[in-house]
Amino acid sequence: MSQKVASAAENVSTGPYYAANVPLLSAAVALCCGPQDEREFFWTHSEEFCRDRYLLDDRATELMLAPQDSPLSHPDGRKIPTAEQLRAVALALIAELTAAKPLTLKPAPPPLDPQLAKELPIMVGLYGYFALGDSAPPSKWEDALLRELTGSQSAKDEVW
Amino acid sequence: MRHLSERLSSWAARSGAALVSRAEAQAFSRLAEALPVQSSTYYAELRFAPLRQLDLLLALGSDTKSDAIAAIANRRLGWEPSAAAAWERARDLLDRWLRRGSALRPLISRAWLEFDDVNTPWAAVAPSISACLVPGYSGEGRVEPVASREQEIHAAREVYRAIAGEWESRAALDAIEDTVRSLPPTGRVIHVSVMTARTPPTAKLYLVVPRAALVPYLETIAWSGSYSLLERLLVQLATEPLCGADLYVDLNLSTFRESNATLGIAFSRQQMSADPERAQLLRSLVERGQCSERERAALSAWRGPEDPDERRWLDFKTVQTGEQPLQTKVYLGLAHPSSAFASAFTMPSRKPPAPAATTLSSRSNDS
Repeated sequence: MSQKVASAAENVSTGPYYAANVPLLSAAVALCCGPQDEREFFWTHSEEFCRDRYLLDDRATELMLAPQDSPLSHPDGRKIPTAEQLRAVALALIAELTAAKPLTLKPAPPPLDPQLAKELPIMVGLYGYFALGDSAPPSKWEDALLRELTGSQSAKDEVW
Repeated sequence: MRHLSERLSSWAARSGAALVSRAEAQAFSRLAEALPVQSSTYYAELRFAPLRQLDLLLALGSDTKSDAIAAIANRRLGWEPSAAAAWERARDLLDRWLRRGSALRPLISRAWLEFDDVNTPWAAVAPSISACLVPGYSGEGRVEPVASREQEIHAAREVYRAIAGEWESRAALDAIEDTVRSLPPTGRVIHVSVMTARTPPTAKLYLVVPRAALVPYLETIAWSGSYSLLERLLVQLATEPLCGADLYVDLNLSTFRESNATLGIAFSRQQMSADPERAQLLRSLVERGQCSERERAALSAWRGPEDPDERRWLDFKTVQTGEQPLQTKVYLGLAHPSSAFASAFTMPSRKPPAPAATTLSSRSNDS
């Protein structure tokens, strides 16, 4: 192992939202509700964000990065995720959470942006249950999470 | 690229330019593409003939990327002094609102930029600004009453001051206090608007008021419009079967106690359940001479087939000004998947320069 590699290994750290039992949920919460520098890290170092900070496997990393190749875009070129891409991430999250056991520790909660967290109450509630030792998950969370993340069957558009 | 401007152009062509000509659709597209900020939710606002005008509205969520602020500063339109001042208000509001921990952040859930008349010369293109005070406001369900009217008054005043900046007026602040304090218990302020692109930059409130309480409320605040015309409007067009027990109204704070007082009655997303295609409302508008049969047919075609990657819908607003004939506006809504989750995955237009980083993947490459 070269000196450079050894140095890198010593510096390995995961994201401030990382919980070993729910890595994909940890990454999603960080991307959606984390502080701006954490969210921007996703855009500047997408793969490192997924693989190194949140220890996602190949499949989960692929799902998280897929929207960057979306066929939908704004006039200025910004990529918009497709409904199919969002649904794939949401279903992977549901699969991860269905198999996960909640942590029993009570770590200090990460500094979520309250306004952004308010937009995703089901996902943030599940993070509380699985990663922060909160007492109960939201009821009927599978369908609710799918709706919240994909906007399906709801009209969560800004309205005039 | 799939976008409102493309949708509008193809819809305008399909509908034989009943409401939007090819030239207007092209002007709309050019403006949409030149704006320094983009959104996932847009409206094209149309006024029926003879006052035809096409406006563009876009929504910004609290997850708007911070590069929007620099993009506004570096915009390539709206350089005339009055337009530049309006853009500066938008830039300042976004800067103060999007900053983590700012006092405005919990007060505003979404902001709207409205661009009047897509044929405006680019030097004069300027946004008017609205801010939504209702957390998580969406087209679903009724708007819950506020826990504290005093807090709502404070929020409405502070948001007005943040938008208006140097255009802040004592009269508008007093009007906000009077009109919000007088709301019935289940009434609520949804949006505070300052028409920063117009002269003078008037303030407006978009309110939800129980139907049964609307006239008493307007009397309490000394609204000086025509009550007989309003009551006819409520009986003939904004009926309970169509609009339900709540009414969504637009109140111009500059004129509400003058003879030319206006009142806008909106047919909003929350009221679509009884008439999701807006077929009944459109028929009523035709019967009352607010739009032609050809325009009705064109609007009916706006929604098109279901598409998981975008939603299209129609909202309306009927504006009563003094004793003048009603004027109805239609809002062609379009949104891409717009959960906050989708926004988080929406890649910023310009990536900031990437600092050097030591990563596990680089380690594995080295070894």
